[in-house]
Amino acid sequence: MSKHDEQAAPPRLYTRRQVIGRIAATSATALATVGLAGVLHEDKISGRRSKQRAIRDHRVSRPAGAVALAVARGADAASNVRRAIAALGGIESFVKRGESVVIKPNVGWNRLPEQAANSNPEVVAEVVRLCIGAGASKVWVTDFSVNDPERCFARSGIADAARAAGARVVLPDKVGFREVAAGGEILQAVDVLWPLCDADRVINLPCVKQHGLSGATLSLKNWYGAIGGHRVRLHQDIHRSIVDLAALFKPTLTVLDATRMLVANGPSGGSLDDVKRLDTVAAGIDEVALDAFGCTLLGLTPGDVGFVVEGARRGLGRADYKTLKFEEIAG
Amino acid sequence: MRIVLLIALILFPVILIGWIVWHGQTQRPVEPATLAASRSATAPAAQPASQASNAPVLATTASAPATTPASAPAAAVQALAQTAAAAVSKPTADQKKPVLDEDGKLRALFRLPLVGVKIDGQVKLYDQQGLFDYIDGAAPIFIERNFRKLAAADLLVGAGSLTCDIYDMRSADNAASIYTKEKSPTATAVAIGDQAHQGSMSLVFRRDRYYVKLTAFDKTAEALLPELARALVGRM
Repeated sequence: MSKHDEQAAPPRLYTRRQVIGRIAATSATALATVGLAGVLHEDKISGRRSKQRAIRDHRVSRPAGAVALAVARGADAASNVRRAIAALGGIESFVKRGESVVIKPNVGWNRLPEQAANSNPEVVAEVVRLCIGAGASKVWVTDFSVNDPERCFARSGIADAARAAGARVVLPDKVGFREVAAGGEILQAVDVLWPLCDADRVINLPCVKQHGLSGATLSLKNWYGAIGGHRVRLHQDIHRSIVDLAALFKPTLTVLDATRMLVANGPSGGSLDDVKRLDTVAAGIDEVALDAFGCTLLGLTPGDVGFVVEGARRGLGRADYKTLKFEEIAG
Repeated sequence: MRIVLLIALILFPVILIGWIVWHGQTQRPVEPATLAASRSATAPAAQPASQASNAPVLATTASAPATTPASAPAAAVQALAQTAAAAVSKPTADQKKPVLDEDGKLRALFRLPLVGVKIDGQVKLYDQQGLFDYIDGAAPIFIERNFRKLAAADLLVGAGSLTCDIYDMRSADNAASIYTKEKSPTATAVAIGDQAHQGSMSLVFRRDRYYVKLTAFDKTAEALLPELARALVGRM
């Protein structure tokens, strides 16, 4: 470069070092912005990601001598929930401040609460309120409905009741699933609704009803609504499939709703002639024990229902529920 | 000002590219690949009536494997492709004509069943495997009785609503068998079709090869059940 050229060149606004530095800083800012957007959006799209992972154990340690199974009876469903959980030590013994909770009721059917094919909305709402009262950071309510999910959640009254109580309702067609290795005798892998993988605490909230194939729908069977896919594959060897699936989930708490009970033409029912009002709620941590108790409500023995027998055989719980610390609370 | 412009110029394409990449990812189907594969491998659940009239009976894909490898995107894509190919391939004349005729008759039962009644959504058809996706564990008692297909729809009548499930049981004997099996002991017999009973929020009847369940969700719809049932019987 000649001296003449140097004189003709326009004055430089920035030095080379300044330009490189500014570009680097700007790029870093841009990348950080995009990254931040991704992180912020993670909550929305997390459900759409399919990942291989195990479901963690959601149980909490219990004090020695604590009541293992409590049954409350009375006309007020919400009161039954409160009294049954209080007998177990209160919701605070299961849910700590700041924890996220997912509640998994049975919302399988496009049916009214009176038709008793789904969990009772008052029972669901009361469990939501208790969790929020214990300081839960989020409460999700979700299920993989058999019929159209929007109609099921609306008709059952569960969407409105759960939202009014402060929960976020997660419809299965708007979220994704996590692929989880089942490693069972029948089921090898399943796609699980993402809140059941992400939540700190899991509450199973089945209803008690007659079921045409398995004999009964209770706690263990309720996990069918935790996974996606065609249901026909779950019915080939139903009792072993139920136990395969139930073995994946170790819920913090199970609340068994028998406010109304479908006694015939289950699992969907329809006629109010098939419904019996029991005004009963049971709560516990041993799903096999709860199901054994639920069998008695349907006029069955635990030995009559294959998945209860199989669940006990595989060590998921105890079918002889009366040998546990058991408390009945009259209304 | 120049610095702001410089940042904007650099940020814009980066964010744009980021957005395009993210948007592309979220446009995937709601189901993960393995779920979709399991659905396709076990045959489609239901066909909207509007599609069913032009499509072959998808139960012919039921010979696909009943299970899908746990983590095999390639297998999932292959399964989807096989299902798609099956859906567009023409069935043989032997397969096509009788099946479409029966489905056509079933769907036709829903055409304006009664003045003032509207179909809320679509009429959906369920074959033997798809029946589990509609009635879950109640399906086997139908399949044991030679169930062919179910046509189901939600209906609106004024402010009321109900569901109408019409099961094609292939013969009047099969329809009578499932009717007897499901009859609520406390329901009241009514004179509709070959046999009928009415309970609270429910009316069930059989006519020839059809077994029909009407389930109301309010008193308006419940009051209409007998009239709707008679209108349906008139078409069977």
